[in-house]
Amino acid sequence: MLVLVLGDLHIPHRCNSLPARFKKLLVPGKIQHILCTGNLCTKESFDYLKTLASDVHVVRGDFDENMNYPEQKVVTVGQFRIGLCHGHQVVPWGDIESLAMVQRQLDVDILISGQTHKFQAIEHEGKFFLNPGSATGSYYALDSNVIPSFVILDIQQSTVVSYIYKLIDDEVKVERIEYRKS
Amino acid sequence: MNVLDKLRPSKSSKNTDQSGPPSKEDILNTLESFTINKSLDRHENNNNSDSISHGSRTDAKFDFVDSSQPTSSSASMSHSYSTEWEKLFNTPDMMKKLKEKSMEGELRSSRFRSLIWKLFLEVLPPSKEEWVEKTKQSRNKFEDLKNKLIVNPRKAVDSVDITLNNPLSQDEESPWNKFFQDNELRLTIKQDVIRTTFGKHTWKECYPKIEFFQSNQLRNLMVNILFIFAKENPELSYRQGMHELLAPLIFVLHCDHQAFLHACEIESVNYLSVMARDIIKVVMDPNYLEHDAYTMFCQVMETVEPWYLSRDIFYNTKTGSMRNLEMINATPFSRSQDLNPSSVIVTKLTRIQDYILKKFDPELHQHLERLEIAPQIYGIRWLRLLFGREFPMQDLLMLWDAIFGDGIGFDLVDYIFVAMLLYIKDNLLTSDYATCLTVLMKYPQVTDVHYFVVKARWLREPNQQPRPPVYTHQGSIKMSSSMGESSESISNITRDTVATTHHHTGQKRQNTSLGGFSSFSRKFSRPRTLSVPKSSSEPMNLQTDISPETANNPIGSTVSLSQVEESMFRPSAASMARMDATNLRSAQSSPGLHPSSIFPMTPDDVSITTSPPLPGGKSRGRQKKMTKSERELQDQISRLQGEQNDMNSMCRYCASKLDVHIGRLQQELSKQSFAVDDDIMVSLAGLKLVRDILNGTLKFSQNIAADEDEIQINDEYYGNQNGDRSITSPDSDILLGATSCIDDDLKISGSQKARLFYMSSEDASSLDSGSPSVQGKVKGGGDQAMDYTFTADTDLNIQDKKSIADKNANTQTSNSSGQFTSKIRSLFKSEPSGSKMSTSTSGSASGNLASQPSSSIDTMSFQSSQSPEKARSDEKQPLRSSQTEREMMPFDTRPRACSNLETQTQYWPDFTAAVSAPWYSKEMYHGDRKDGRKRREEHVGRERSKSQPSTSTLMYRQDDDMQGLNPLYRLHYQDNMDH
Repeated sequence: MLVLVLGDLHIPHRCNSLPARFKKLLVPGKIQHILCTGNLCTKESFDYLKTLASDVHVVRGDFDENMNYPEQKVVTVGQFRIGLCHGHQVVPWGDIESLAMVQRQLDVDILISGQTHKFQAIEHEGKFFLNPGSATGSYYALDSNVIPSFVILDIQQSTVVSYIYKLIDDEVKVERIEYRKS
Repeated sequence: MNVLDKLRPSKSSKNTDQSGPPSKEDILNTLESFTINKSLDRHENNNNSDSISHGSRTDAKFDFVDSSQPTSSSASMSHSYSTEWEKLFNTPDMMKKLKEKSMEGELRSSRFRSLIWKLFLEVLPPSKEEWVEKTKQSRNKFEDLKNKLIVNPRKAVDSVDITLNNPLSQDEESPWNKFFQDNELRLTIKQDVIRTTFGKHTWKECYPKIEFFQSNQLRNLMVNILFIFAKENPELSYRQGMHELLAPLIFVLHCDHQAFLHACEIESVNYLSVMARDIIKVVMDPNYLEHDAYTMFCQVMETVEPWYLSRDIFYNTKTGSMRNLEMINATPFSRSQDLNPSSVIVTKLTRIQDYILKKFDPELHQHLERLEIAPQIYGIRWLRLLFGREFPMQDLLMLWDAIFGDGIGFDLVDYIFVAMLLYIKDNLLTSDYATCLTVLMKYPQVTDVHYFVVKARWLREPNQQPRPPVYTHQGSIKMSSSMGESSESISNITRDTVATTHHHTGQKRQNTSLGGFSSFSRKFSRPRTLSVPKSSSEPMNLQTDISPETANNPIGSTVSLSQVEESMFRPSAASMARMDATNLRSAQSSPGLHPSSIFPMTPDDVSITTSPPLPGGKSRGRQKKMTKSERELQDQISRLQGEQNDMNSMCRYCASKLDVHIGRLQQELSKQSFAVDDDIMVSLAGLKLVRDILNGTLKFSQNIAADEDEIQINDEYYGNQNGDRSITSPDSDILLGATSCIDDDLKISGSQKARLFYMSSEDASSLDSGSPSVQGKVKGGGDQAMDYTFTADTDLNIQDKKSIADKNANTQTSNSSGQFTSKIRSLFKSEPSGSKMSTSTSGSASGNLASQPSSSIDTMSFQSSQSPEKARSDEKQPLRSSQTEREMMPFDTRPRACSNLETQTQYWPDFTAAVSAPWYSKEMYHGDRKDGRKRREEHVGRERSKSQPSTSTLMYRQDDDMQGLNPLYRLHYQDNMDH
């Protein structure tokens, strides 16, 4: 089962759209679920995601227009409980210990967060912490040099294979990280 | 072995399912004693299992397994399995025997059907020794394919580059991409498999009951097989319908596997020889259901494949230009299936319909052709699924036995196709487009499928196969076979229901045309709506008929209307006077049928007379709705008509006898002296009156009953729109009432009574004056000229003659009528007195089209008792021929009373009759519509007086207040006017 994880689009505030290369890759029919870490920011972006897969889960980022998105969300896919949180509430931003607290709070196997605009996949205390980065590559408050990236999770029985798509020098690079539930 | 013994085993084995062990002992004993006859026993067992669960064989067999204990009792069972094997496969000439069996439908309950099919489909060679090896081969092949074709992208992680092997990769080489593409295909297959085979609307209520098919495992198995087949045959891929070919294969395999397992369980396999056991063990291995099914499916598809291929693929490979070319070259008026034979299947279907069906049933072929039901509408499904949707599972398997057994080419399919069409032939022939399609798309249930096999084989080889009995679907519509005979038969067996159905068929088939006209006649009954042509639904017929007239007349519509009226009354009058029994029959034959069946050819006149006008038959759609009640009405009507006809013929017989005697009497009287008593004359007239009442030419009314001397005679003659109504005897009056109760519309026509007032010239004095031949010219509806010549001589013998003039032969006719008159005169040696063989009338008539049937000729026979008739008979011959062909026209059918005019004059032998304005007779009497009538009369009058100024009676007739007067007086009056 394929799950698309992305976030921090900041359209139209910081970026006009997704990179064309990414758009080309993202076609409907392959992805079953979309997990979005927030900061879309407009409804149009949400609608676009809806065209890729019908099942879209979004949490609220600090720039989202829609105030109805929840702060945190737990989605169960296969055998995995996946926690979703934008991360601007978690200080210091992107800190693994702070995120682990949220992970324990939510009691999830995988915690997905955004905010730092930097791809990150860490296995910490047997849990999987994933930050898909910014799909548009829009700038971050502390860093203006951001590589656009998103993640596809291929969730099987007890394994999650993450395919990380990065746009480096207008070339899509793919990485593969496997996480096995202990 | 008596019947009881035969019955017992089956009964007992049933009991085993329900009852407990104690009772079993007895049963087992019976069974044991029964095992002597093994084959019969096997048969019984099979029957039994079938009877327990028709449609779910597997369950039944499992029941069996549970109930029967693996003891000696099951000896028969076990034996039966091995016996069957021996019987089927251990004979010399095995293949031939098997094929015979399959054709005879004897494999219905076989437990080796899958094996037999494998042999038929050439999955296995005929020699048993190779079976094991061959089976293993094919299974391995499938396994390989399965491994190769079912891609798992996750397995190839290490071997393929990550840039290719990622879920979003769109590279052709990417396993993920392949996976997604395959998934789409799988999804399509799965949808079909689930929806059509296992869903709610499944195969003929048979499949859902088979739980076997509803397991998820089986679905996946089917999807796998179909998927692999699709991958193996990329040019064909997967097409809808394939799964329905696969399902029965799997079903058969599964059943046989279960039977084998059961046989193993009760250790019956041990009875088999070692070699056979080994073979069966391999061949019937349930673990290889998927593999075997795939192999068989491939073989089936080998033949059926072209039927699934459509031209689209073909075009993709070539350039699209070919299609354009074809479109240009297409011949006009060619049917769509000819125009674009897009695929093999369409060509095949067209061949079936245009060649095979046409050969065996041109009628059905033509019917389908006319409705423009192309065979591909229904036939594609029939062929592609090998009739899978048309029959329940068990029947289908039997049909497939025959199809497969016939040869790998499935040649028999074409003929089964035709046999199926022939089976529902009656339904189709009587149906319109929509109903036809419904019947074809939802094939009716068939009780004996084997019939199709027999029939199909006979169709293919009529010489080698015994002709099967006719076996058709008995739908709601029952009809007798041949239409052609109907017209003859109907009059003979008027009361018979068969005739009624005949009648129906005719009526029904021509429904549409009737519809249009009925609406017309409805309008027609209201004289005010003279603009009928414009408003009625099918006005063209009338319009064309009238137009020449309208051109001549300033007040065209009125005249034309009256003419139409006349034209419609006349025929009824014509047949009324028929004495001749045969003539009677032919003419009377089913008033309903004739118009309908021949109608299309001569639409002009028919419109008015076509039987009971249907209320609101304006549109075809409406018409169809009416058909049912209408049909019932028609039934009743025709029955009543039958009775009426009988009455009529009786009356006519009496009348004819009476006529003979009157004639003699008259002659005698005339010989004696001129000074015959007036009383005698009057009584003679009275006799004639009675005769005519009997004859039906004179309406029996209260007027006549009350006052014999009342000269005003309500003449029904032209007033009868429906011939059957013109019966005037009291009995038939009742009948009339009855019929008119049936249908309101009939009442309308019934109400259209026309009156003819009697014109006789003078009183007895004219007798002495020397028999003036007064001749009245009746112009029938403008398209026919009827001459009534009344020759009154001293003998009081009034001869009448009527001839129908064609437009061309108009002058001829008048000449001939002149001849007649002279003949009559010579016969009776009477003084010719200024016969007004008016050519003037012929002149006026010449403007009219001569499309009228000369039905009146038959009326000649009315006068058969009189000698001049013989003289005339020669003349009649040529006319008769024309009449016979006209008889085809609907007009003749309803009709009766024709010769009123002739006879009327005879009531008053003392007067020389001068019927100078017969067209009045056609006037419609609508009771309260006097003004309308009057107006029309005026028109007519004016019109007539122009063309025929001599007929002064017109003027006189225009006065409505004159009607009540005594005709005698009126005649006086008229003479005065003349002077």
